[in-house]
Amino acid sequence: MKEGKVILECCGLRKRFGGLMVLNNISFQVPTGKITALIGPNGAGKTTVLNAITGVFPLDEGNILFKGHSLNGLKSFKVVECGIARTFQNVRIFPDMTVLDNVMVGCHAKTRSGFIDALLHLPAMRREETAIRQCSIEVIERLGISEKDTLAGSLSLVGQKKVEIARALASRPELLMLDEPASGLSGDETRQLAEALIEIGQEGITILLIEHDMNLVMGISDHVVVLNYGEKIADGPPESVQKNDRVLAAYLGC
Amino acid sequence: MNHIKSIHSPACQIGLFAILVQGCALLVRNSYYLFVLNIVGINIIVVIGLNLLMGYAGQISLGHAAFYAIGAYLSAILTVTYGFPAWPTLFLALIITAGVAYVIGIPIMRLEGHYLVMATLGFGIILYIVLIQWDDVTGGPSGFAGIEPLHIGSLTFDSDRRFCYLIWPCVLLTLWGSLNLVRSRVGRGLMALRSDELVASCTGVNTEGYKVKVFVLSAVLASLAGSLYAHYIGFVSPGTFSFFYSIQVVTMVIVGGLGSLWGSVLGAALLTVLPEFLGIFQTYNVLMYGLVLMVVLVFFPEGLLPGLWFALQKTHRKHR
Amino acid sequence: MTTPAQLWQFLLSGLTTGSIYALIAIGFSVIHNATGIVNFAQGEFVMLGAMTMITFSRDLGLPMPAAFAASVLAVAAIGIGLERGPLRNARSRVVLILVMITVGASIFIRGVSMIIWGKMPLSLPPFSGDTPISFLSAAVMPQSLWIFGITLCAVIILHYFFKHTMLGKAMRAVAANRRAARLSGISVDRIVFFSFALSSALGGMAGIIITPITTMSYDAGVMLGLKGFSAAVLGGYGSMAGAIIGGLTLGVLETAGAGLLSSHYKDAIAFLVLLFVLFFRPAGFFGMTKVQRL
Ligand SMILES: Nc1ncnc2c1ncn2[C@@H]1O[C@H](COP(=O)(O)OP(=O)(O)OP(=O)(O)O)[C@@H](O)[C@H]1O
Ligand SMILES: [Mg+2]
Repeated sequence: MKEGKVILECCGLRKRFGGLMVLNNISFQVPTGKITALIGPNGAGKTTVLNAITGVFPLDEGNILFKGHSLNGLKSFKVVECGIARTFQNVRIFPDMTVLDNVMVGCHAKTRSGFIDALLHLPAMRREETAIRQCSIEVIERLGISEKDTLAGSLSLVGQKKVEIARALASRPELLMLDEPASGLSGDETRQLAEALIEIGQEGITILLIEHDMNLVMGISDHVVVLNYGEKIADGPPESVQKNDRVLAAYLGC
Repeated sequence: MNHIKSIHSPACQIGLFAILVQGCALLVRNSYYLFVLNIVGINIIVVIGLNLLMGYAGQISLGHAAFYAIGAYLSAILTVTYGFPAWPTLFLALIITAGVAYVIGIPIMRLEGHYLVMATLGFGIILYIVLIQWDDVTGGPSGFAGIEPLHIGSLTFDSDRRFCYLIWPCVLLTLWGSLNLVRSRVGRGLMALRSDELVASCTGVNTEGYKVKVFVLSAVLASLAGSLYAHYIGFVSPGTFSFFYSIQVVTMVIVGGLGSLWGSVLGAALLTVLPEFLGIFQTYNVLMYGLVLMVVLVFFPEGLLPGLWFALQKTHRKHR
Repeated sequence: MTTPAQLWQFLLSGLTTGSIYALIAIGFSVIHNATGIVNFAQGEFVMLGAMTMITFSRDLGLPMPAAFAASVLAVAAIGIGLERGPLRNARSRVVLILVMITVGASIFIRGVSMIIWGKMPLSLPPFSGDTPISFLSAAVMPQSLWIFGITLCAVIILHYFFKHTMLGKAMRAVAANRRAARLSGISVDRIVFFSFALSSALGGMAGIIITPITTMSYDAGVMLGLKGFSAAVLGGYGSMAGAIIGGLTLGVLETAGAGLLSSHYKDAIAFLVLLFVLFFRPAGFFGMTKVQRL
């Protein structure tokens, strides 16, 4: 694991909710330009890791380094500006906005114009607006979403998941974190998703994937981190993780 | 396709609206009607600002009368007691209001839902108490008189008709700016924030900053309306700026529909004009506002006008 | 100069108004626990209690106890009407919309009251004369004793009710977790109904017992409601002990502030306290902060 560069490094993360230790001294690295999977049984603390990285709540202890800079204490929107985008486990789009608007919100991190520019309709803001629109339409088309002017809330689950990924991609992230993107998808849809992820990965975007679908995980990831009850129990390439005794025990429940 | 697009552009809509208002102003001879038209304009400015806060950022304020009062009283006190020139004072009032809104907005906007409602209401009432009790400066319950009308060069806005030519351009400008705002990057950020604050923040929207800024913006608009009101009427008294005014403007926003700026224009016009012309409303004013607020929220939570519009479309479709 | 005797006097009269705030605050908490909304019309119930009492005792000539019971029942009926009417039939279940509906209801009640009872403040005779009783060198109005007594009784009964009756326990269960309560067979509907009845009755009672001291007018509801709310927030929203301690603390702070600083700004004190608590300690003295779950 020492050869390539590391884009994200978590060192000794600890988090407790009341009496429950949800993350207990979790450390792992996400190599640049690869697909890393974060897996573990329900309640293992995977989503919590994502929340900690994106600044949804503060950690009790530990440090998160993104390209060598600490993310500790940064507000969520600052984290996005650094180049990290995410999706949510239970799809959370903005249901009362159109698909295009949803994706355009995603461009927030890489654009600047503020209240004054908007109120006065300044030329710089108009230029930026055109760019945002173009970029969003590109992302939408790339993900094969056909209806860009319908309300996002009226789409099917698959459609909403695509919108969510498009919204994340619109911020032009270096690291894309997906929380169970395949849950609720059919076999075919999952295969399409896998292709899309590989394609995104080939463009140089690093992916951190939380997933329960082992075929998907073992099929596309370069590196796997396994959590169980808030502890890291394994870390390595898919083949070795699959053979790891502790992982087998955690998943088979013995 | 192209001309349809241009009808939807703010500038074009506002042009049409301006012609409409101009038409009204020219046709109306009675100065009382002009007075009502001016008050409509003043209320529209406050209501649009409040709708940006309520309808776009999803934050409710029951204390907007306070910002309206700050504008009016600062203009009144500084120009009359201290002899400041009127226009610079108006801008100074805007800046001071912005400062006040910013300072209280930072903690207030961290609160959610009903705490926010109560905190803004509390702020409004504190200011109201100050207006009444600090009588050497504010004139106390009996009010503050002798405010000169505004003027540009030799044009003094001292009659109802002349004031029309001051207030309505301000309304149109407010409307133009606000329409621009909601159709921009910032407007989308605000809508995202209303829809789901946490996700908006994880999508790169500076939610806390946006909430404070839109709060400041809506306070500044209320203050502008207040200053204009003070110079127009020439007299301010606390009664105008009581808790009930805050309720009135909230009701106007809700009648017109949360998040619909043109709805706000209609809502403000409707609820300002109706009570003036239906005599019975004088005694029943409070009751009516309460009833309207309650009934609209019960049956048309998306706003009376949008609600009626949808209902109309539905029946229309059924008939076909 | 303030002497210890004066401070003692402030404390006593502060506790008197504080008891009223505590009763209103309990009303806020009860409804909040059952429904998750802030009932903005809570202060209106207080005003209505006083006004109906005036009608029953002065205009209809009912004897005090009968008029008292009738007014409390009348206000409870209005509270139930608010719940069964607008709140239950609202198209939207969004908490903030429901809160705004109670705002509308409160303005409506205020407007109706203005028409029925006029704009002038009205008063009630004290329950048992107005010769002050000297108590440890401070003068106490007999009405204050009534207020303490009635508030204390109410609190004891409520305590017993929440701890030892089925309905009370069910209410606590709903407060702790609506879903779980519903799944274990509690009729949340009935609890909501009862909460509105209980808290409007408490509010009405508070209005009746305070009016002989302060008088009452149609527009006093907002102020009283906000002060009750401030008390609830001060003590930690949703807890009964918090409501009581918050109410008493606020009453004393307010009276002491009025006496020591400036009586003109007496009413502003409660709101300053409210803003201060909300800004710096939103969970109140006893409340616990909640963590949002994803
Ligand atoms: N905000 C919170 N407050 C209290 N407990 C929480 C909170 N968020 C998560 N937990 C608890 O932390 C533990 C880990 O949760 P987390 O959502 O990280 O699991 P997960 O690995 O994502 O599981 P799943 O596969 O089911 O999504 C769970 O027991 C959960 O109940
Ligand atoms: Mg999870």
